[in-house]
Amino acid sequence: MIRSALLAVTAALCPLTALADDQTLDIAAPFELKGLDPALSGDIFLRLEIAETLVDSDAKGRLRPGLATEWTTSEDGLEWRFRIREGVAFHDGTMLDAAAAAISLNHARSHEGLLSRAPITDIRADGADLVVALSEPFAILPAFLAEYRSQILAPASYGPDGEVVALIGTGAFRTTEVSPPQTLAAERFEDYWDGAARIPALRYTAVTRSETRALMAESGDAELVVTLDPASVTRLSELEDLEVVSAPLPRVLMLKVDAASPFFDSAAEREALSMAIDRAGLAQVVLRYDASADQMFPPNMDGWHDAALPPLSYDPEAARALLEQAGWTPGDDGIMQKDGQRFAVELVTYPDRPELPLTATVLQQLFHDIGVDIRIVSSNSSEIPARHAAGTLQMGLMARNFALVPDPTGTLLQDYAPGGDWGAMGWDNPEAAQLIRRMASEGATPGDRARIAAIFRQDLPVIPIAWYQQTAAISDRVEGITLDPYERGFGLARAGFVE
Amino acid sequence: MRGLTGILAFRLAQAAGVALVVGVMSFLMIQAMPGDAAYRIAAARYGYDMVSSQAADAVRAELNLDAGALAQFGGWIADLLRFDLGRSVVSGEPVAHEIAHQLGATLHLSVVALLIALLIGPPLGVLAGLRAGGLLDRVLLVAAAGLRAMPQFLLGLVLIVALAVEAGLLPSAGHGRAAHVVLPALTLALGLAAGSARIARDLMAGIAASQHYAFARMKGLSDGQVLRHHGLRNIAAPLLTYLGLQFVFLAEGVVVVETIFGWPGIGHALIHAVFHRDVPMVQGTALVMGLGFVVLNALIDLAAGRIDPRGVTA
Amino acid sequence: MTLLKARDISVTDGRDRLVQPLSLTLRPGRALTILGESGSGKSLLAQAILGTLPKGLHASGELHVDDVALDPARPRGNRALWGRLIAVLPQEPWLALDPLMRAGRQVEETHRMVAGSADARAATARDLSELGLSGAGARWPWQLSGGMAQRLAFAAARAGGAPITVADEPTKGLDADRRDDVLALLQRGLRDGGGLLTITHDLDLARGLGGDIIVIRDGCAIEQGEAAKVLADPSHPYTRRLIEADPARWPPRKPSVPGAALLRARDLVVSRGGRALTGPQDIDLHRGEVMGIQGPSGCGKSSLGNALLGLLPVAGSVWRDPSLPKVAFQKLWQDPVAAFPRRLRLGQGIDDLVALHRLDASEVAPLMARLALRSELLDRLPAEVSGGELQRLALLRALLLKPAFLFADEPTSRLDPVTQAETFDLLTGIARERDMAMMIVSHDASLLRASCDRVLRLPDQPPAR
Repeated sequence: MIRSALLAVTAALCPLTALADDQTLDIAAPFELKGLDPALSGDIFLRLEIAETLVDSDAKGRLRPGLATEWTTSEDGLEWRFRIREGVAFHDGTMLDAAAAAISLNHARSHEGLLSRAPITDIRADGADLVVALSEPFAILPAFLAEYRSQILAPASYGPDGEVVALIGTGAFRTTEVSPPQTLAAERFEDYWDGAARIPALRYTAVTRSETRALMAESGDAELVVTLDPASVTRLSELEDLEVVSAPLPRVLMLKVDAASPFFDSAAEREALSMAIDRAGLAQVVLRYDASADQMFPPNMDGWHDAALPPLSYDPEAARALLEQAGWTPGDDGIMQKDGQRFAVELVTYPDRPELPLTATVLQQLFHDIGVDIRIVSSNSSEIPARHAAGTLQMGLMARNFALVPDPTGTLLQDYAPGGDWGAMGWDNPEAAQLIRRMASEGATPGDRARIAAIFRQDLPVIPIAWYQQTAAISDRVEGITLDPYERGFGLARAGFVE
Repeated sequence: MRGLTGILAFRLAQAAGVALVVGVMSFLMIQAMPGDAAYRIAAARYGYDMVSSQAADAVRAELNLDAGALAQFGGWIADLLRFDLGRSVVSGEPVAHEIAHQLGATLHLSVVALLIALLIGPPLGVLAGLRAGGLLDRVLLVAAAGLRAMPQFLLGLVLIVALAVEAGLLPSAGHGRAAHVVLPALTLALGLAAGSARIARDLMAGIAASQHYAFARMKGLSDGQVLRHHGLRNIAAPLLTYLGLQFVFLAEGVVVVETIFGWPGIGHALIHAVFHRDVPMVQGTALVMGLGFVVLNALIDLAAGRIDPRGVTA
Repeated sequence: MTLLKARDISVTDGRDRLVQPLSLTLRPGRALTILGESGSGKSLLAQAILGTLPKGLHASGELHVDDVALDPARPRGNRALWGRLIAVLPQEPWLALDPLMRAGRQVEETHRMVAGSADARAATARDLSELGLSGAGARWPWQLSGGMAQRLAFAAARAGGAPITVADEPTKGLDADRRDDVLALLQRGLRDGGGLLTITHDLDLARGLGGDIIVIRDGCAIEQGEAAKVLADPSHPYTRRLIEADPARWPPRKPSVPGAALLRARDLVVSRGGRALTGPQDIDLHRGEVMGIQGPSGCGKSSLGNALLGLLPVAGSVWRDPSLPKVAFQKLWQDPVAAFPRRLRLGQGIDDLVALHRLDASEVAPLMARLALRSELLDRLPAEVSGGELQRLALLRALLLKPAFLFADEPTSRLDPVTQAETFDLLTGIARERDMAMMIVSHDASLLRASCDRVLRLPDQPPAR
């Protein structure tokens, strides 16, 4: 009996006989694969350099040629022409042309997403050019085309009903296995237009638990592990055969308030809340790196960060004074009151990012010190836009990425002109709304960006708390892997194993 | 003896009952959960940075969520009668495909775990039971209690640290290579082995102390012969029934273990589906798992009945 | 010629000698019976010879089986005897048979694996047909009647071809018919020239087997000799008392005069675990009547009594005289030790009972005298008095409540024959004095015949799972 049981175990182990091989780069990250459509998991395909976009961006968020070599706009700004790069092969051997690019972009435009909300009237091929017709000028269109949902797949990727049935991109790696939600395997694409990659193959595994990811880095099972929890960063930093790297992200931990509610309807009240926050202490305790935000945009956002702005500071005494100026007086229980109403509000947050509920608890304490009573509701990320839409959100603690589109104007357009799901709520500032809309349609000058930063600092439609960092553990068996603040990739096409 | 057709009819009725109850329960559970489903589904599809009112409205329109709960449930039943489980509202894939993929992974994991557990647990339990009160018995009691008390989450991490990080024998997590199954399966198996060792030990001790066991020895059979002919078979039926019940434990463990080890199984998928309000996935998964239990129980009953005909033919 | 020779076999538990040095010899075709009451050490003697003494007990002496010398102090060596030189008959054949192996296979495996028979199947078929078990080979043990199981176990034990048979209490709990079956089986072995060592307290069996007898009491052989002579003309007073205590020799009962109706049951069916144990029964009981319930173990006798007492739900109807209080229906338990709290002084229990039911405490002393209970027993714990005394104390407890009906469930099965005779004498005497109805459960037909007005026999049932 024991003999046959042993045989059975061996047999059960055998169906997958592929051996661990040193020529495969193993990547572990928390993001699960949801499907083949770029709208679902395009961010992963882009980072693994399987699919590409017409427009690319560099580490500073500046646009640069991708599958399009150059682009121009008409005098009236209503027509854009993108010259399609020659000699680019899809993974199925067919060649990229403007018609193929038009199919992909029309697919993206017909689904919920950025392109469906842009003022586009038509996308078509015209010889070697892809032509996008607009109903009004839209200067940030190239940035929109750099977003992952605008990636270009081969015509054969789409089934008869227009759904994505295969992942045939132009990137340096060609998929060999896509098994949502956990696994994606790819091999080097020898005919890559920018020269074949050095790494023969890669394997992506979605591992949601950060403890497991850290152990995968430690055991050497993954050469690249993305997103580490603060405790693991400390431990992994002490190991010799791997390196822990971090890069600032244009992602901001912030407090969103309903600026139309009696609690937050003056800039003074919002400033008081901001002054109640001990950002340095909070970043040290919760995030475990110094990332306190003294204004909205982090320093790596060129032109948006303005070092000359008066920094957001911690001063609970001044905060109480500001509230009292705004008509609030401390009640018997120490909580501020005005017109018989206690300063008691609900704060909605979500545990997808583990630091958020922790931050919320710290905030509860800090706000209590200035006489503001917070009740925490830790729910689902979608509760913030859902309650915003329903008008029932009082306060939301969240993390917002300004680089969904390489040009932050795209995000600001959704969030602050005049408000939106992940941005301002009940905030009335015609100047900012007008300015953002003009930047989107006509383009921005450095002065415009600084002006936006100044308005945000002064008016505090949302209250920034900390700037995020991206962390990763990289094995010393590989070289050339980089972290990109705009989270478009890891430089895999140029990376290689150490000889 | 109850006719085979009778047993079959009973099991079929049971399966239909399970299908209905599971369908209704999972549907009601999800309906009772707070929050706007359209937003939850949008968040699941596009990620939290991308969920917006527009995305939620698009989801609502696409899935016709305003039609009401009853219409959705009716639709599910109608589809079910055509053996169609519908499509996941998150990935858009047919639920049947997703389940087939994930169930395969879970079955692979479970079967390996079960085999490891069977290799470790019952043999140790039998040895301990043959010398009840002996050193092995006492050591096993402590070890089994410790293993049962240890949360699987912790056990999994301990195994990764010991066998993957420190010893470097096995890959820590992931899916795709043969060796990947070992650690998650071992995590599941140790708990199962502990339980089955205790049961096998108690059963064996009971049998070894029984008059028929003593009589078999007095007949002149050797210890090995007595164990093979009058011991193992006699503990097999109750042990099998116990293992059948342990599948519930396995299913529960699978959820934790799959998440720790990044194993693309059905437990992991079910949690996500509940979180994402993916009603067709939840219903489909619960249905398949429910029916799986019915089939499993039927098979175990059949096997146990073959080993121990008392009660079947009496 | 001798088959087995044991010299100066003794057993100790490290402190006390439980069996005094004793020698015995087994000859082909001649039975040797060790006679004694329970606790006399007769089973220990058999276990010392077989090498199956419980942990903590040690044997010494000399043992020769079939010219092989064995050391009883090192029982491991005895294992080689089992099945090959000595066949051991089980006490309870239903429990000795593997419930999950078909009947024939249990004989066949001994032929194959112990005797090394070339055609075990044919040998088995021969055994079964000789024992009237043809066709039963494919059945499961729980599908056999008690008698069939007995014969099958006999065949299975002896299929290894051992010349010597050892039977420890082979008739324990059996009724007369089954006892005769066992006797016939044992005689069959003797006829083939085998040796037979039987341990029993059953005088009928000893008489039937003939040969030699050793009477044991308190670990000592007090009398030995030819069976016919010892049983007809015992020289030791204890042997005489033992023989006198045989229910068959009890004076016949004077029939009672039935009084008022006390209890009536119609279409009573007792079941356990969904299985009916008895067919529909009609039972009528009047004051002063003593009724016996007879049947082998597990047939539902106790359940029937409990049903009449209203302790078990039943199908059918039971009427108890409604003018009587509930405590007028009492039960005497089979195992008196289990019926008393272990750490409570016996007198305390009696005092509590008197207080609880507001009884007249002055009745205790005369009743104790009637039951031959000394008053100092009340200062002791249950473990400090004998089984017979304890059962009489249980009877005292029941009688204090002035019962109209007493259900006695195997009241003497844990007592030795002499004590059994005394206890029964008391029970039936008191029933007559107090005009009390009694129902006595036993497997022993002669005992019931000697002490009851009428006897209800329940059929054989395999033991519950």
